[in-house]
Amino acid sequence: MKIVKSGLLFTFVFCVSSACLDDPNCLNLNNNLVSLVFKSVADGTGLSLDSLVVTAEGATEEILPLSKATTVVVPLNFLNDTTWLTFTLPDTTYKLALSYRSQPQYVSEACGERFVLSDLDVAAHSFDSVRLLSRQPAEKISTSNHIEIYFE
Amino acid sequence: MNGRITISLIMLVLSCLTRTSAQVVTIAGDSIRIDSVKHYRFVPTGIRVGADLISIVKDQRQTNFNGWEVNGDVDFHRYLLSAEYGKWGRDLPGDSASYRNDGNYWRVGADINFLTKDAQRNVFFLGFRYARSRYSESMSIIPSDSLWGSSASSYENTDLNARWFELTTGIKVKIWKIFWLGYTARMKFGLKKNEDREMISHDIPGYGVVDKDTYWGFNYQVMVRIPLRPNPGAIIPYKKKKKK
Repeated sequence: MKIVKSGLLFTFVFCVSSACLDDPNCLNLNNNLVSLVFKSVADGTGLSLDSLVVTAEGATEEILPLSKATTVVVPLNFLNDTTWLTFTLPDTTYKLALSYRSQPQYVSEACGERFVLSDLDVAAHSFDSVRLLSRQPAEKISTSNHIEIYFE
Repeated sequence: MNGRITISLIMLVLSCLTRTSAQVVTIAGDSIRIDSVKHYRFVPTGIRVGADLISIVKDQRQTNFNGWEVNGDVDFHRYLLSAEYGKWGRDLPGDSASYRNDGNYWRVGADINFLTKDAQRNVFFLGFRYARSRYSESMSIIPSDSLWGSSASSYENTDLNARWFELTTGIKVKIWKIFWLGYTARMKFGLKKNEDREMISHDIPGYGVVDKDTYWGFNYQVMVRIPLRPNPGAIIPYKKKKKK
């Protein structure tokens, strides 16, 4: 009888604790952020680019109109599997195409869906050199970089 | 004299059930104790079949869930061989995203009974399960983003498979004659599912939401137990016939 009572108590506690389910956070569900760092080919040190404007094909506005930038974080188009980026400097323009896998996933009735991006790759570029560091885009801005772009 | 005849008859019946030599029987007061013999270990004492009440109630009361689950176990007194089979479907409508899945699942495993001396054959167990699920799912979304705009899309995954493991614990209590009630708490882990598909699964029948590495489940079961033989250590009351 003691065991039955203990069992019933366990049942009650279990039901109560299982009722405290995590509510999903509906912000920043898509991991579509890619961090790009500019470096010099000569010595590998960071480069600061003046008057850099970054635009993306299909975007409704400029991504990053900046005066000076050493590192930029760009959002990828999660509705597609490729994003074409244009880097406009005062005297020249560069192109960078990033390809990736974008898979949708249902999250909840409150949050709707999210897109999980993976297998990031550099499909094409017009820079002097590009180096891929990580194939997994990020959900939020962090200190980790995904791509190094080298200038002569 | 009549008591000895009764004991002899019991021994005869039990020996016929097991096709072995006669078992040891001890008598104390007004009860007979059936002592265990090692070759009884693989002869089940009973079979239990039942259904999960939580699935039935959810199916009736929730518009976004349909499903049921049946379970069974073979009682070897100290150990139980268990199996469960169920069907599960979810329909989650929404303004910007709707999701639907449908499939079935099964679990097999074994439990250890820690109430071997209970005269009512009540069970408190710890156990392990191996589970598999086969299902299909679909999703319709209208994602909207300030930078990339919006577009409507539909996705579908068919013939999906998943497997996982469970640690289980619970009780089974005799209520009246052959009717039993019980519950099982499960800790599900080790999920492996199809990865290379158009969309990522949200919910797996039998397991739950896939984003969690471990997932807790709970069943409340009503069962019927069909006895096959007395439990070792069972105490059978008998009435001595009064000598005239």
